[in-house]
Formats: sequence, C-alpha cells, structure tokens
Amino acid sequence: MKRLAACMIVVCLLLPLAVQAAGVSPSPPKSTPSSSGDSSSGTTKSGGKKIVKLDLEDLIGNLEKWSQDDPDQYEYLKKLLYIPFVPPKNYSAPTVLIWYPNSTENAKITRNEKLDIYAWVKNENPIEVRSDVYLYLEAKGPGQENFTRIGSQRVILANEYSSKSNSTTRDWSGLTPFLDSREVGNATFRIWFNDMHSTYCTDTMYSEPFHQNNFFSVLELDLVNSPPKVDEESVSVEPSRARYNDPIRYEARFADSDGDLINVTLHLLDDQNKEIVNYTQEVPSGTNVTFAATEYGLFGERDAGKNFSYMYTYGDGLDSNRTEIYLGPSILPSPKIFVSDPNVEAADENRYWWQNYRFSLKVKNPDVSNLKIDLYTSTPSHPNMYQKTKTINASDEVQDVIFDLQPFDVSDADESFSYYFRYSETDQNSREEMGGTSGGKINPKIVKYPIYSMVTVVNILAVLLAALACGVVIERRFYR
Amino acid sequence: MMRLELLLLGLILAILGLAMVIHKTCLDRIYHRVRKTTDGNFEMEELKKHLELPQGSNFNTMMLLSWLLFFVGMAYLFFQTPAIFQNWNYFQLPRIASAWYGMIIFGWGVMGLTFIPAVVIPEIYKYYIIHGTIKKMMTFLAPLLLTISILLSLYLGAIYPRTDDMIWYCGYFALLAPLILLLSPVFLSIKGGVR
Repeated sequence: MKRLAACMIVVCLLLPLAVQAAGVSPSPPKSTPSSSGDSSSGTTKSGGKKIVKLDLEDLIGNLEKWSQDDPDQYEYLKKLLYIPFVPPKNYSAPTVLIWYPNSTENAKITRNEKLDIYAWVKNENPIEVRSDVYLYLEAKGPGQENFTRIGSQRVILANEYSSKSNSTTRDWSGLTPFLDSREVGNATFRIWFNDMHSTYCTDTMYSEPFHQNNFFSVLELDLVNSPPKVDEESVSVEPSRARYNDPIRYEARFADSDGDLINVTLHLLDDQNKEIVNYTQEVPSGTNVTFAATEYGLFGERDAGKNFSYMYTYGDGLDSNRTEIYLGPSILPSPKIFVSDPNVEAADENRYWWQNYRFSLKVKNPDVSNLKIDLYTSTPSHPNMYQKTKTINASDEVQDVIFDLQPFDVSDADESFSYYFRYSETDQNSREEMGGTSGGKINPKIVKYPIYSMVTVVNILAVLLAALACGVVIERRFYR
Repeated sequence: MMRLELLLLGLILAILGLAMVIHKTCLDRIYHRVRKTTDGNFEMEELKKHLELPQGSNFNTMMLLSWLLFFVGMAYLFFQTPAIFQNWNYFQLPRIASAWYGMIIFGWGVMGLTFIPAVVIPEIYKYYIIHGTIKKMMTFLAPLLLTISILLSLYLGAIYPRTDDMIWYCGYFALLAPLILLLSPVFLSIKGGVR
C-alpha cells in the first residue's frame, strides 16, 4: 500500500510540473522545488521558457527535502495533489457473512476445541468491476473489550467467485482462539474485510444483525469449561512408612474432560495439617503426576520419626479444586536399638496349652534407659493377646530378654500360634516390633489333670457329695 | 461310631420312656378296675394315695442320689468331649473345662438342669412292691455303677483327644445297667408287681 501511495504522489507531482512547463501556474506555488543541478538533471530553453527536467531520483530527493524543511507546505502540496479514488458506477460492496456449520450443536465451545469458521462472500459486481477482497477473522473473548485478529489474512481475487452464484468461501480451520482465556462466557466473532474501496466489519456493516441457518453477521458462542477431577483411587504415597531418604513418591491422576492442561500442586503438611511446602506441575489430562521426594528434597534427617500428610490443589486455569487431606508418609525414626533372634520354646516337647513357654529376644540397647518390651501372642481364639512387659536399661552388651510364662488357655489347644515383641524404640529395621511363629501346633489335649490326680478325686467327691446331700435334703423335705 | 453312640443314647431315652408308659398304664389299669368294682366316684389322686407304700428313708435317699448321678453320668459320657456332639459339649466352655474345678461345675450344672426329673422319677417307687434283693441291689449297686461310669467318663475327658472305645462302652454299660436296675420295679410290675 505504501508503495502504491508513493507512486500516486509521484504521478501527482509530475502533473503540476507539466502544467508549470506549459505556463499554467498552480495556486499557490509558494515555493518551487530546487534543482539539484547534478549531471542527471538539466534545464533547457524552449521558446524563451525555461524548462526544468527532473528525473525520478531528483523528484524523490526534493520531496524528502521538502517534507523536512517545510512540513506545512509539504502537507498543503499533498492536499492539492490528492485525488480521491472513485469506485466505478453501480459498484456494490460484497456481502460477507460468517458461516459456522452445525452452529446449534456447537454453540458451546471449550478452550481446547478446534473451531472451523468460514467466510462466505458474495460479490454481485461484474468481474471487470470487482476488486480483490482481503479478509480477517476477528474474535472477542469473554471479558475482552476489543476484537483481535485470529488466523491469517484470506484474499479473494476477482475471478475466484462461482460463476453461478457469484459467491465463494474462505476458511479458518483448527482455530483455538481462547486457549489462554481465564474467563468463560460469551465469545464473539466477526469478519473484517477490505474490497479496495472501503473497509467493513460484518458486525457493523449491516443495519441489523443477520442470522439465518448457519450464517451470521456476528457469531456468538458460549465459551464453557469443565473443571478437572481427581481420580481418588489413584492418590497415593508410597511407601507410606519409610526412612527420610527412601524414594518416596506421591502419585495421583487428574482428568479434565475438556482436555485442558492441569496445574497440580502438592501441598506437604505436617502432623497439624499446616503447610510446609508446595510444588506445582502442569500435566496433560489423564496422565499420572508424580512428585518424587528425593527430586524435590521434601524430607531430611530432621524429619525422622514425624508423620506427614498431604493434599493436592488442581485447576485448569478457570476452575480449581482441592483434594481431601491424605495421611502419609510416616518417616521412620532413626534406629535406637538392635534386636535379633526371637525365639520360643515350650517347657517340654508335648507343648500342652497349660505349660510354660519361654520367649526370648536378643537386644542391644546402648542408649535407651527404661526400654520397654511387650510380649504378644496370637492364636485364632486370642489374636494379639498382650502377655507381659519387661523393661531393660542401656548396656553395651547384648541382653537376652526372656519371658517365661503360660500364655495359652484350653481354647488354644490344637492351634498354631505366633508371637511378637513390641518395643518402645525403633530397631535397626525401622520397626517397633519383631516376632515369629510356633514350630508346630499346641498339643490338642484339653484336660490337664490325670485321672489319678487329687484334683480329679476332689471333683468326683464334690459331685457325689452334692448328689448325696441333695438326696438327703429332698427325701426329708418331700418324701416324709 | 458316632451314629452308634447316638443309637445307644436313644436306647437309654427309650428305656426311660418305656418305663414311664408302663407305669402310667399300670396306674390307669388299676384305676379303671377299682372304679368298676366300687361304682364309686373317686379320683386318680385319691387312688394314688391309697396305693402308696413307704419304701424307707435310706432307700428313697439312695434313689434320689442314684437318679441325680444317672443324669450326671449320662452328661459326662455323651456331652463332655466333642467326640459325639461337636458343638454341644462341655469343652465348648474352655475356661471352665481347663479349670481344676471344671468337672465340679459341670456336674453341679447337670444336677441343676435335671433336678426336677431326678426328684420326680423316684416317686414312682412308692406304688410298687419291691423285692428285698432288688431293693438292696438298687440301693448299693446302682450308685456304685454310676460312680464307675462317671469315673470312666472323666478318664475319657482326661485323655481327649485320644479316645478309648472299650472304656467308653464300659462307661455306657455302667450307665445302662443301673438304669435298668432302677427301673426294674416298673418292668417287673408287668408280672403283677404293682400293689
């Protein structure tokens, strides 16, 4: 366009020079362009009149000089030389509409939705009168005040219209104009075009907004958004009990039905649910997001023995939400004691339920005073049954902690059993308990007293005497 | 094995039931005979009162003792270990079963549950003339055999889960024999022993 304008000015400037050469004085010629006087230009006399010959470079040089030396006169010169372009007679501006197929079904759009919008242009002018048409699609998103151009320029040449209908289309396919929108609501489209004579916008060129079938002067769509969701079953922290330097991983999966990218923030909370730190990742919908504790340096030695919890906040830029608070991980304390060789022995090989059993554990406890060790046994009849507690003090030597007791009753007969020691400090395996299982079943024998024992004699005598006493009393009371 | 033991239990109950039927039949027969001969208007209770014979305090006491022991012996033999009734046995109460006084509780419990039949059944003896020899056998032999049955049952409980069929059958015989002996006045009444 600039080049065209420059050519027009040059042509216009030549005209007054020609007029001046012919003796016609333009009004008001307050100044005349000075000759550069170089070898490429010259003056001649013809019929007593001085004729100045200018080549193109001189002319341009003079124009540039004039524009700087005397801008007011230069502007006046331009005004004199301006000749408005007059469209041909009977010329009518082309009709331009937005064609949006399936407009009813697609009236609601999301930020990621690829739009296919067309310009439908009808030019009733004869081909010799038609001019090129330049089109832009413009859009105004929710909360925006002005239209902005989207997609690239489309051009329709004079001969590119259908010979039958004098119409043609241009498309803008695969547009995602509101990808970065932070609001939902009304989205408006219009077409800006220029037909070499005038510039038009489809939203203002018609007296009334046009809408018929899938054709619009102004296309209005509803930009909507679906919030992302968390797959609660996928939320995990593994392992839930670990040392501070173990590879602890937080994992979760989020999905956005619109396919938006999801900003996921992991909030690490202390045991009072106060936030310690948070980290954010942007992930595609439906993919697992992983926060590796070692990568982010979430835990240190100072965290040994502490319990943590966590939650996620997540959003797609428009809607955000948070998960519930999940427990974990529990950072295992640093080992204070070393335990080994849990063992159990029955008083003899019969392994009766009424016998004593000797439970033992080797403990090296160099630091902890009053280390408490509890013994638990477990049978189907008495699961996790507490038996006894022993307390030991710190020592550099390995100590044998022994429980010699009768842990079972008759309901445990003919059953296997397990046992474990639970201690008040953490062992070398970051655990607070160690145990084992019995080598075999408890003897199925139920009655522990032999037939010839005093207990049996007492039992039978007690029954006989009771029966006799009943007989005597009843006979005296009812039979006499 | 289990089915046979149940049959043997059924035999004991059948003998008991048969004795009760015979006893009632005898009384009814006498009642009807007396009513025919006297044309009188009296009740069964009145007849029973007239038919009563004193059997002696010692005899009555021993019969009460014997019947109490009979029910205790039957419970010890059939309901002590899970060998016969898996879910209905004394060992289902493991805390009592493993206590030193467990068999006392069990025996007293059985006496409490069978108190009424053990007290009511001996009343039938006062309607029968019981021969002296039988009376002596009933008085001395029945409690002795029942005590033996109880001891054998205790032995079976002490060795459980081992079993000893011979001991069990001995225990059963020691239970069945006194039962028949205790009910012998009723059975002998068929020959006209009722007064």
